[in-house]
Amino acid sequence: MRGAWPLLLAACATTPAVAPAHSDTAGLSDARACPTVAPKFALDSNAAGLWGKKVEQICIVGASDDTATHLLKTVISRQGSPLDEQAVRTDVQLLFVQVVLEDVVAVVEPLSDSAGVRLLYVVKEYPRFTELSVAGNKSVGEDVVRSAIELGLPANPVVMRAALDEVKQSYASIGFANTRVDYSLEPLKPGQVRLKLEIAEGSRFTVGKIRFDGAKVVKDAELRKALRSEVGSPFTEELAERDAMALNSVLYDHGLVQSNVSVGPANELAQGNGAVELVFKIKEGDVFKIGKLKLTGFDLGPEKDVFKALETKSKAVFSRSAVSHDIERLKHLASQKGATVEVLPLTEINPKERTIDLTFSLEKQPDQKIQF
Amino acid sequence: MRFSALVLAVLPLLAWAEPKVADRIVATVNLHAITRSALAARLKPLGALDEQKKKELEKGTLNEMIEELLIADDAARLHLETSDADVERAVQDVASQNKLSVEELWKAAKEQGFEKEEYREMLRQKLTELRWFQYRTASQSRPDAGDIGQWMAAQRDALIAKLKQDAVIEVRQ
Repeated sequence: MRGAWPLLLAACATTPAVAPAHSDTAGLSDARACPTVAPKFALDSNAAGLWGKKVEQICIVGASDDTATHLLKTVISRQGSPLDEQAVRTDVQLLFVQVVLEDVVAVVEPLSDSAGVRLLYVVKEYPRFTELSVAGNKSVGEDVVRSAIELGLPANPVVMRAALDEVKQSYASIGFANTRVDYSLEPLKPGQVRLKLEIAEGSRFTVGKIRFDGAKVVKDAELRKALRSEVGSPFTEELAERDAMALNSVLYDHGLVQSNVSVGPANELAQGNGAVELVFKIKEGDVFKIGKLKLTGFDLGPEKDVFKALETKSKAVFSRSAVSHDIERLKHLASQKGATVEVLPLTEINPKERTIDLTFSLEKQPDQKIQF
Repeated sequence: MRFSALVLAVLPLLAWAEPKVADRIVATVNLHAITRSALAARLKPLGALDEQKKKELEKGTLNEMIEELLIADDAARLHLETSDADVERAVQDVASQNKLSVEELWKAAKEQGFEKEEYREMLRQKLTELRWFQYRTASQSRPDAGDIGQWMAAQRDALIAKLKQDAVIEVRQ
């Protein structure tokens, strides 16, 4: 989570929740003072008759000094401009996305000494969690949990969820697949809370056995080579998903272009001690071969000669890796002719014939000139 | 009597001088805010409605907007973007499918309460959603026979339910 909330947080130190209002001083002189508290307004009122009136002043009411100063910089409504519905809507959205605000209400106040209006953004800040307490951790040290939580951030539920996910991720990476982290907030002083984490670690799982369910064309030994999970290593869902994707790539290199690999539920083995069987469910489908092979676009010379240099051959089993290598080969051949090309592999699948027509489309790129 | 009449005459002026809400948040989806005016803008093409019907439509439209934001967030995570050129192509496609020139399409859209930019953004959102759906269901086997529309609706519902489960959503009064 560290560094994940760059918009405003870096600039906002922990500050008191209630502070005077701040005004936009851009453009015009700012003789009027902004109200320090929000005026009374009916939440269901609307400013229908006030659109187009000149905005004499823009104020942020209800935020701390530092926050308000930065929030004012984000609004697009301008002092001296007509009050615009779309601009006010954008302002409310921009203010909320800054993470630090729980609520934003745009209020328009007609001025008694002018035909213009004052535009107020009445905001409510989230408190910030400045202290942390951790309970329930046994297998992971408190320092590890603390390193996943950055103090001083606003207690926005989105921020909180990201923080808890970081803690869960720390557990998942060592095999705790079902760790639950609950939290509560304890008020400290205005604008500050203590974040109290309650961790239920759950069981730790290790990979006890690996099985490929449904593989026929590709042998187990080749599939196993593509895995990062291994017997005895911590079981993590993330790694299992990554392994499923790696297995799909292997199948694609054997012409199995309609294949699908998913991770089955990790069932605990009879031996106990958290050992699970990792099952990859494989749907291979048919083996596809290369049908027609073509080159279009930039001329690399006689097709026959170019095809000889390629790994992909007509009537051979389709391989995605071979196509990737050939893209690089074609770029290299073009560069030997002094050209830079982009190569796009265009495929047409013929399910009946179980073939894939492949066209390498070579698009010459403009010469890159260095300007001084 | 004269005093009362004077007070009554001034009251509307005082009411005019009261602060009014220009906009406020009616729902949040992660870090996005859906505002009252954005919701009203979506309902505008439907014209005048009775209070009961309006409430029902507001609820349904707000849910649609929440789902759109969830999809937009997920599409952004997957780097599924819709370029301006894609939107322009879609504008021309819609026009030609309706046997209209692009200018005539803008006129028709305006009559239905859509500004050009709103209409473009709506198309962009629909195109992104289509890409997102194709990406998210790429590994699913589609039914050979039967109602593909029903299958798509069920898949979409399941995907949205998962996104909702992982999101922070708050609907405010």
